[in-house]
Amino acid sequence: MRVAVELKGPLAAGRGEKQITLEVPPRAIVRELLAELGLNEKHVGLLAINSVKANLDSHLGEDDRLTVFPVVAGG
Amino acid sequence: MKFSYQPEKCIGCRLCELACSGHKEGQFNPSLARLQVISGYRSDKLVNEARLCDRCLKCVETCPTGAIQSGEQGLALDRDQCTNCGACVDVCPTGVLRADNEGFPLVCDGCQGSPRCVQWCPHGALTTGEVH
Amino acid sequence: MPGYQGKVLRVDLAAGASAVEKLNPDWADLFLGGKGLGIKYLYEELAPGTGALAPENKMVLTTGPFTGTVVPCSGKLSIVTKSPATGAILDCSIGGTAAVELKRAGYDAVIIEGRAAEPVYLLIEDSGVELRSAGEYRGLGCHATENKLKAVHGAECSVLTIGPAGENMVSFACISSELYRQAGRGGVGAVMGSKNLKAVVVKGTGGVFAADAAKLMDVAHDALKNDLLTDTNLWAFTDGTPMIVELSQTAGILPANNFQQGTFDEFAGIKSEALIALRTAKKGCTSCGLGCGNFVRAGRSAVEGPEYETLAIAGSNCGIGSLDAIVEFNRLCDDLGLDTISAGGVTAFVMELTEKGVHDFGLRFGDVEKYLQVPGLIAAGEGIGKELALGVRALSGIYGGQDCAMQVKGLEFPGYDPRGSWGMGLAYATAPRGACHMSAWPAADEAYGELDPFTTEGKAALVRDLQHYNAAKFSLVLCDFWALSFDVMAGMLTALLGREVTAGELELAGERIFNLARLFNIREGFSGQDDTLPPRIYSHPLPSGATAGKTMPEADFKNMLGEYYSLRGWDESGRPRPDKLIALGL
Repeated sequence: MRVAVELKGPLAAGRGEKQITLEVPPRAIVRELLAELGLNEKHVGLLAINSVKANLDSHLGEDDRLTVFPVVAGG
Repeated sequence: MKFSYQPEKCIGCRLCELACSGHKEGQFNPSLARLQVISGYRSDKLVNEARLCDRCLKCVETCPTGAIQSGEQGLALDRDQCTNCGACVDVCPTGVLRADNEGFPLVCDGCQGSPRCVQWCPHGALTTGEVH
Repeated sequence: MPGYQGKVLRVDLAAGASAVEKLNPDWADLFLGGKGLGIKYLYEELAPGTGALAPENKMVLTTGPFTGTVVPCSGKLSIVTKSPATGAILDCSIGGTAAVELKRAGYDAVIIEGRAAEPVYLLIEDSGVELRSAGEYRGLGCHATENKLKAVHGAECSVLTIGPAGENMVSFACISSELYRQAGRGGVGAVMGSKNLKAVVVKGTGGVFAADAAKLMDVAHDALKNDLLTDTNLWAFTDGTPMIVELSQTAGILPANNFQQGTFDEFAGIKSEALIALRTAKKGCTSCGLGCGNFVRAGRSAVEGPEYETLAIAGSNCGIGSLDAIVEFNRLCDDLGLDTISAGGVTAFVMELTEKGVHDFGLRFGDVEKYLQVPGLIAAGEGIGKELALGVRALSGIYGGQDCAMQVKGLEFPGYDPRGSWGMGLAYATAPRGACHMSAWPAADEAYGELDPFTTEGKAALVRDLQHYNAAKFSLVLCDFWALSFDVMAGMLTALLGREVTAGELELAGERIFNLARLFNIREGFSGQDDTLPPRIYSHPLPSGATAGKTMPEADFKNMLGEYYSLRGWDESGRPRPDKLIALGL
């Protein structure tokens, strides 16, 4: 199934595109998708699926939009 | 070895100056660095400028005692030959060449091929170009 | 003393004189520098009950041992004093260039005492120290003042200045430097104004020494490349703090309409992507490896900013979704010398009072035109500005609305709703200077991370540990945005000082510093009763998003607070027990 991934901040570096469309197996989980994209979990902060807070073990559905924020310190 | 500076990548951190003086002089003092970075607001514009040695060799030509020599990586100063006359500082077209507290010019020797300023620049504003 | 200059400048504004004294090496060991050293001076030298705007209050500017060296992200100046807004200890941190200039001029710290008979500015040029007449700068904004002083003293000098807000002693007046950096909170600018001190100009041409410069450079370069410049911290370079707008929106903690909501429909216009589209440059402080500053041109204004706090508290919290308007509000505050957080907080408060019919201040949520008039009115003390200048707590005392007076101890809330980050509520309630996000920032782990935001479990320990971490970090002087471990800090400090410092010692120093700040406040009459949150947090559920239906019930808050006191070795009223103080050497 198709999902759209938006990488925020430095996570998008060197990829050309901030928005990526991927084909993934049904019921794919976020953790696997991030590994597929070569992202190090320790750099990943908030996750959201269709703007709703999610986590590494969340399942993705058809045409879902995954947003991957980096970790952030301070304010 | 020549340096190039891209002002649009500079954040004005001056780590280059701190690293240069730290390495060459054993103290962290931008006044003793072999390069200068100026970054600040002028009216409503952010201006970044750097003065770097661009190996024009005018200081070498001007030096009356031959105290400044040009090598492959950069310039070298023979302090025994230097009379602190200041002619090199006067002739430097970029204005980067300055004297230390005793009057000896702070020449850039390229750190034996591993320029610290370039190593420390966090976002690639300072890089080395080809030797011309 | 490697790392330190070993000298402190003491300035007596009343006598118009200054003297240099030795830095106490025991204090350097125990309190490190920066925030810790400043708090120590205030604790030792300020008599309890001293008025914050009285000549007897002191303002201490402190650097840390890392300042002026090649250690990245070490170029910030701590400013510690007693707050006119709260009466509690106040520590601020300002970026730019001043910290390194001061250290290069040969001083670890400057203690400013007394009140000058006429407006003056303090000029420090290496060992030359003078007080000069500031008459011609009276009434000028921070920008004009800084530009004029640089024209007189050279573009390479550093200027710390107040604007008319500080001169008029507005309770949330700030100190500005490099035009767009501030020591923001708690009225630190009003203290300077009360002393008739318009500005501090610093130029330093000296150096800072390590025990072994080559060794320090090795360790620090490794830290720069392998720790700092990684995707853990580079959010600050790519986006800067505006990244947090969408984080807070997603987590349901973005304050909107005086904390009536935790989401803002127009957030997309103020998130980092909107800012980056208008950005023309990035800027960092001296020695910074990140460069968090975003220089932006929007509408008719240019500003380095706005930071998240401004976008949230002076943006969505006021119902303002126009980035152009927030940029202009930000620039006005920077120039007039006003804390954008408190200015936004008091604006939002009176917007709610107006809309609810409690008192008509003529301000409503989302009214851009009136909103943009607010900073000028506050700075000048004109119209509604005269009252807004008093701050949220004082205004709620006059007009009512204590329920929705979003402040702790008299300091207005920063941009994170505790109902969606319960640990943040504890952080606000227990930070020494009032509702503060710099003392501890558990939002990263709760709202934007993996911890359950809606529980008290583990939060007392988390907040305690973060408070120790920040206390130590801001005393060495390292910037908030470098998320480094105690081990990395200790490695760099060991190389700098030429003697072994462990991570454990640094964490202990953090605990010591935090407890000393607490002792200062207790001596001023604060107790556990002041570690409290506005009733809105306890009983008003948020309406939408990830925090729909959420409050932080008072019973839960009190449990968390009780656990926090206990973990800290404090008694039930929040007073450190004698055995804890002995263990900390206090």
